[in-house]
Amino acid sequence: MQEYRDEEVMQQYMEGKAEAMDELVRRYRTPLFQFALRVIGNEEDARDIAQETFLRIHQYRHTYRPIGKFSTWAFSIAHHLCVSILRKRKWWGIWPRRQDDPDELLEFASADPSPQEQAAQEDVARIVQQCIQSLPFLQREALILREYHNLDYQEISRILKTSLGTVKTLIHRARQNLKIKLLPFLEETKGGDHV
Amino acid sequence: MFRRHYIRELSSYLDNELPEKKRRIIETHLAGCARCRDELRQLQLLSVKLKEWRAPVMEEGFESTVRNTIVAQELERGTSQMKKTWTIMVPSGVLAAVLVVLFVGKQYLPKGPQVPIDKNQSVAVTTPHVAPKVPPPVVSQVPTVHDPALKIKLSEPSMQGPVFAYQGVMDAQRYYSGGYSPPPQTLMQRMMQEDSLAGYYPSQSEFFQEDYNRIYENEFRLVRNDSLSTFSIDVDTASYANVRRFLNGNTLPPEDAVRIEELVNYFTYDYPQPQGTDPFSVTTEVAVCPWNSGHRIALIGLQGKTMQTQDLPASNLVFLIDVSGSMKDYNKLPLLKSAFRLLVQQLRPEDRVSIVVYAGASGVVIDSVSGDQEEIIMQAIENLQAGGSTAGAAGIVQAYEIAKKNLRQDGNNRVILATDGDFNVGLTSEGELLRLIEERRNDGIFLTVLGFGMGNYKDGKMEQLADKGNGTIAYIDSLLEAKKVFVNQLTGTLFTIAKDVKIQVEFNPAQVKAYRLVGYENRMLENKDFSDDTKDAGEIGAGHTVTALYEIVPADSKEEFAKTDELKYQQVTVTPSDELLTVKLRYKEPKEDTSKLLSTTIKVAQIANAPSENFRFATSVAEWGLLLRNSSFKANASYQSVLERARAAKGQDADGYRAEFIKLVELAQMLDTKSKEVRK
Repeated sequence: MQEYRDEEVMQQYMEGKAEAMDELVRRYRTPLFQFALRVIGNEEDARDIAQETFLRIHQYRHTYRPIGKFSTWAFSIAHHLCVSILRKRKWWGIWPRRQDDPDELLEFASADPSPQEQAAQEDVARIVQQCIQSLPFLQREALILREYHNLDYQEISRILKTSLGTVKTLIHRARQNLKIKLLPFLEETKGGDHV
Repeated sequence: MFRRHYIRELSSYLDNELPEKKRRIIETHLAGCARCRDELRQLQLLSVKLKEWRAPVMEEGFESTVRNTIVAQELERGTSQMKKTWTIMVPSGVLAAVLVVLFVGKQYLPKGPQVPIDKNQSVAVTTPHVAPKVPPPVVSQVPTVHDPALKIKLSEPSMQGPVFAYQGVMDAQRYYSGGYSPPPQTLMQRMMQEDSLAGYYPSQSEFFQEDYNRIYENEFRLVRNDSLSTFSIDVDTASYANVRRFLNGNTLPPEDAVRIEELVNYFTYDYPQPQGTDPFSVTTEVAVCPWNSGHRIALIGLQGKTMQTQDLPASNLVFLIDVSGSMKDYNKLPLLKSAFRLLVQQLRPEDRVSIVVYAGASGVVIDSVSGDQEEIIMQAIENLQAGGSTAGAAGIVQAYEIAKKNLRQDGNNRVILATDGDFNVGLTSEGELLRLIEERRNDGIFLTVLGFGMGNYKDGKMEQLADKGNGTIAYIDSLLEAKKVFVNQLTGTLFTIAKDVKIQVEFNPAQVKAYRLVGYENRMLENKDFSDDTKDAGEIGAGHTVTALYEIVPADSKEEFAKTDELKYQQVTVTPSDELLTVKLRYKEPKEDTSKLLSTTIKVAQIANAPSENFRFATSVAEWGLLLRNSSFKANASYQSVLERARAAKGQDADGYRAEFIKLVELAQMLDTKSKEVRK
């Protein structure tokens, strides 16, 4: 089954080939789990989200249309689940009040201790993680989809159900925020190329 | 030439998301603008830095978890549809009245348990715990297998015991949900044939995941403030097998899955057999702490009296087997079957075996069959099939009833629960379940919990059950492990020689400044519980060895520990003595209610320069545990020193367990180094 594209495997599952689900799980278990983990920051919830995503793929298999990419569909379900898990837990600090206005989102970035203070004791990965998790929700999601899943803006806009321009702004803002927080690590190799 | 900067566009430029024309403009601009170039370089660097956050991968075998969940959901959907049909039949007026009452009630009730109101979830949330009013599960209609006629019946494919029974439950569900049709071949096929799925949402709480109770490590205690340390023994070994499963899957185990005492007790040590009437012997030894040369380690070793299988009293064994959907995996029910094959071969004619299965409903498969009826027992086990949701509580109640019915006053009465632990407790609350198990413990029925599989292994819950039920827990991840539990250590698994075994150590402040018990975190007791015979503690089986290690700080150490201020009204005088510590043990004979006391002391002069093989091996296992737990007390612990000592102290190792340990340490070392590199 490995030679088939995701969309074809999904088609087979819709036609009643039960093993197709195993193949989809094999292909997407780690991406979905990692996506949720990076967004939510908690392994247990991430596991739940990955599993629930597959359950919903099963439940709504008849609504799938092979026009779009399967990955877009899967990630958009996972995105939806991340949103609802955050809502359910009332993490209002993380969940932005007006998700349609990216300008508004900046206000919700939490003030973390500056990385310089932590750098001595903690390693870069941990700081990166903290910085990303302190980003406003949609910025974080857009950036994660871009940086860790290598999706293009078109796909991200479909997943987050927002416009292409918004995705562009979200990613730009996310990077600017991170750049400020992670500046000490970016400066090490800076210089020497000034004109 | 004045040009505006393109900071805003650089992010899209980096991602190659700009239209061709714009991209060219920026490229030209970059050639002449240091600021934008610098900005772009930072973004590139940022992108590289971000990749340092590597998330763990999802484990292999997640497919089967998903598959099983889908099947379980589909089955539950059957039940929920039944509920829907019922709802429609209720006159709408009554329904409205109920709603009004609910609404009004909600306004006036203070905080009570609230059912989440979600139009999609309401049905699913309420149904899993509703035991559908199916006709009494067909399981119980299968006659007990004393009947020679049934032996023939069982071998007929159309009349297979538990399979037939299980399908009976499913058919009943289908019947009640309207439209009965003969069940198709497999659940998955049946599932795929059904079409109307819209509107059914599973509830979040149904998700399966591994559960570990948090372990708060024992800390150093000042002898001046607290010279007594009391704990219950623990012969469980589940943690070791579980850790091995993680390592063999090329991941380090979660810290809370590592219970150091269970790692140490996985191995048998060469302690002397007890003399006289005592059920066990006590060995003590003190030497320098391998991971902190300023400290000492005191080892306390118990050796249970060894018994031959033929000397065991007759057994009344009730197997309670989880056959829910989640048990389908190759390392669950199929492994369980192979494991039981090993056990059945060990049984004698005087032993009695019953089997109770549980999934959506529970039922008795065989009731008190003699141990020499190997074929009947094996046939019954072979026919078990997994499917359906899990209502563990009902099964446990039933198993204890059977055990009580067949109780042997002078024998060994035991319920053996085999599960992946993922049972919802249905109508019974978890507290009630534990109370039930505690009551039955007083009837002389012991409990052994066998853990299987992965993915949804509920370690914490199972350990709690075993603790309450005067029992033990073992994790079975391979046939080799099954052999250890059912063949090599069968007498220990099945026969308790002493119960409520408690250890209390009194340290001499003249010689010891501080001490720390390594492991046993969830076995700590209050000092006053030691001589309180109503307080439950651990059991020791025939031939079991139990080892406990104390890390001791000598009185002359300069090390500082958090201490309370000097007492104002009391002065403590220390009696000079060359004793280091006194070990006191209390235990009860299996059928007694009053405890007996044993005691032994260790003198300073006994500190060994050349520690024994037992000591060296036990401390190397403990040191490994400290590393895996990333303990704050690991000091200079290192994989290298673990390996060196373990290799030198491997001894005879007839069963190869110690050789396997060395391999696991090497594996953990590699994984640990790798994860550190990744973090760097």
